[in-house]
Amino acid sequence: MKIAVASGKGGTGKTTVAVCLALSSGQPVTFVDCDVEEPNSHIFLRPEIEGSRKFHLPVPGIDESRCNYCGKCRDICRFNAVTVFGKTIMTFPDMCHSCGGCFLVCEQDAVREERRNIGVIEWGKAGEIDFFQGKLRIGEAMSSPLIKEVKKQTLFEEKKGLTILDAPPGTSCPVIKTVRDTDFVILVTEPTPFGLHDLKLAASTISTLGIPTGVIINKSGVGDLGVKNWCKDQGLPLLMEIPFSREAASAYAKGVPIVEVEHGLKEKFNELIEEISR
Amino acid sequence: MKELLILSGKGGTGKTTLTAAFSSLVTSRLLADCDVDAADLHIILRPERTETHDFVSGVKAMVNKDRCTACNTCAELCRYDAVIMNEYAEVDDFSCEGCGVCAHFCPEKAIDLEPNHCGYWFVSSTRHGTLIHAELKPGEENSGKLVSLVKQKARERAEKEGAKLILVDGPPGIGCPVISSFSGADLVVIVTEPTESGLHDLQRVIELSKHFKVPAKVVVNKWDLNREICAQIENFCQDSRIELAGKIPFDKAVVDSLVAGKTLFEFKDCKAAQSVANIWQQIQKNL
Amino acid sequence: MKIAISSTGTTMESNVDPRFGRASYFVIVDPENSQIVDVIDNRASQEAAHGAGINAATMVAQSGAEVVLTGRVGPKAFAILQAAGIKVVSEVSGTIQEALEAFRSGSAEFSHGPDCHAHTSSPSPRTGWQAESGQGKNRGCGCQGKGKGRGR
Repeated sequence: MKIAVASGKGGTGKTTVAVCLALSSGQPVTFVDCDVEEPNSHIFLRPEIEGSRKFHLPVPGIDESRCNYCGKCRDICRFNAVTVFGKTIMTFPDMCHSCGGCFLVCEQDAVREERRNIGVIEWGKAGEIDFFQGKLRIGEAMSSPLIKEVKKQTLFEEKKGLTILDAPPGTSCPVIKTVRDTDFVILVTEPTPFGLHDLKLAASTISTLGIPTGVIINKSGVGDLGVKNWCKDQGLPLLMEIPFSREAASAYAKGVPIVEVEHGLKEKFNELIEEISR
Repeated sequence: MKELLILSGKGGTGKTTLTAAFSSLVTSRLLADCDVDAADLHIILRPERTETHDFVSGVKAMVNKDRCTACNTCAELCRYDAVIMNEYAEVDDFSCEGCGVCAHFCPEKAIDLEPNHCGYWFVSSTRHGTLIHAELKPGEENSGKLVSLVKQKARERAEKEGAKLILVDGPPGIGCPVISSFSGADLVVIVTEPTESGLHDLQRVIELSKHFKVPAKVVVNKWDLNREICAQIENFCQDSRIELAGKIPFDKAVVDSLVAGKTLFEFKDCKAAQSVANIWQQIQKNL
Repeated sequence: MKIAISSTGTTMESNVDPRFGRASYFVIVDPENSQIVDVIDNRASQEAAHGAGINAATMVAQSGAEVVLTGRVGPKAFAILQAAGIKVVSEVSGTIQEALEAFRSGSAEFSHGPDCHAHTSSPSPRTGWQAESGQGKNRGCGCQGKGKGRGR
């Protein structure tokens, strides 16, 4: 069973829910933090990192002894990562999307593969939990390939047992990369007009993938009924409401998972996992 | 004309609430919402769209199925696994990066690159000034290009209207869109919350502001939810010589004002509104 | 000699476009007789998601210009112009005519580095953006512009 936890906007409690799920299940759990721009789940799970590897993208390097400055590499590159003028060729690896076009198009065999580091993949143990995370280098824009690679590291396809994925916030490509090939998506939102607006966006993105989806309302008790009513209208199951409490907020702030402080919450999450698995 | 950029790193810290509140404190201003992933400013400001424009960025591969012979060349060459090969090749739009390698090497010339229409941008009028904002189709990514576009249109508009200040609700995170949002900014206000992840992201955004030489001020929202980490944030600001513009206490009125679709100052006089008013005094000194 | 000036239009009365990469046009002028010898249409750059500066700089390099007058140049474009042996005067404003006259009066100063930052680069406090001067191994601006330009 693979469950992805996503949200239209940041700060709704996506990581909180993902962490609670991982800590409340009776079975062996794999936890994958795919929010590679801001991986924060480690703050709550405090894993011991056992291994890591850097992740590189193939980018062009030029063997100038072979280059005849024909400009074919420049012309095929839609990302302006290579340019040729006169007898000068320059590459800009941070523009490169690693499409491989320049390697393929060069008739002089002058483009060789160099590697550009875009981030690191780490894994380890948080108690009984198998923990994985990707960390994108600061200022780096290519989060999708890193997410793909983090999932690969977990041997995602063959994975047995329960896998929880913490998705990046938003509705864009990295979210889709995370959510793909999962069995269920939990959308976390707040009961406010902001929360509702972002939930609508997220739900419409996920619906294009056809994965069963449910909603958890975090910080319920504040705000309004907009989210609840909308879920009802759309036939989106409301899986759980986590009441707002100062205790939970203060535990969160200290990096303590709220299942540790909120009585009975662990059981509720455990039941939720059972229910989704059925 | 000055440009005030409001950033947060992590989402959900109150960036948009603060932007909206500021907009009701000044008169000669214009708003730009660059937080395209969660463009929430319009919920408070309820804009009326006066102009709608297409936003096109990059290209996507399109297969002409009449010409496709399912030779599999494109599928083998595509590094994004974006080609699904059935009776003929199909392109998965979510995976296609528009690199054009498939089109270039297709022996049947069966693949065209079509402009990728990925959303819209709008000019709207609100009770607190003109708002330039945008909307993306599902799965499309906010980009430096869109942020630059929104900012550029905002500047053009501000010049026309003679507005003295542009309030930019910046994108979340620390990626490409945030980097683009720095260009042309006179001051950046970073809104954070007293959590470990808030502090973590604050450090990264401050790093960027130093890099781009844009002066920064910090606001701690809901500061009293964790005094310990708030103190850490204050120390961090002191050590890195970044001014703390002020702290906003946790106040249920903030959520209530949001539900009412009002800015803090329109809603009612509350603790949070008083703090924001003081913060605005601090910020104004640098504008 | 040819001078390339980033421009919002195609005449001597047009204004200097403050942006280099996303300038609408480049007007190529012969400073001897103040004649426009060529116009590069760069409007397509406004559609580019990234790398507009790289594209624009390449076109300017191919035009045979020896000097660029513009508002602001980003690091990648600057690296290319430098590799092509083109001198850059930034912070230029006014009309094309005015820019040209100011340049001819000798009051212009050549830039030694880019004026603004790339939008997609990886900022790191350890790497400066300044392009190293000199021909040959132009390592760009620390933002990985790895040109092995030979200069001219």
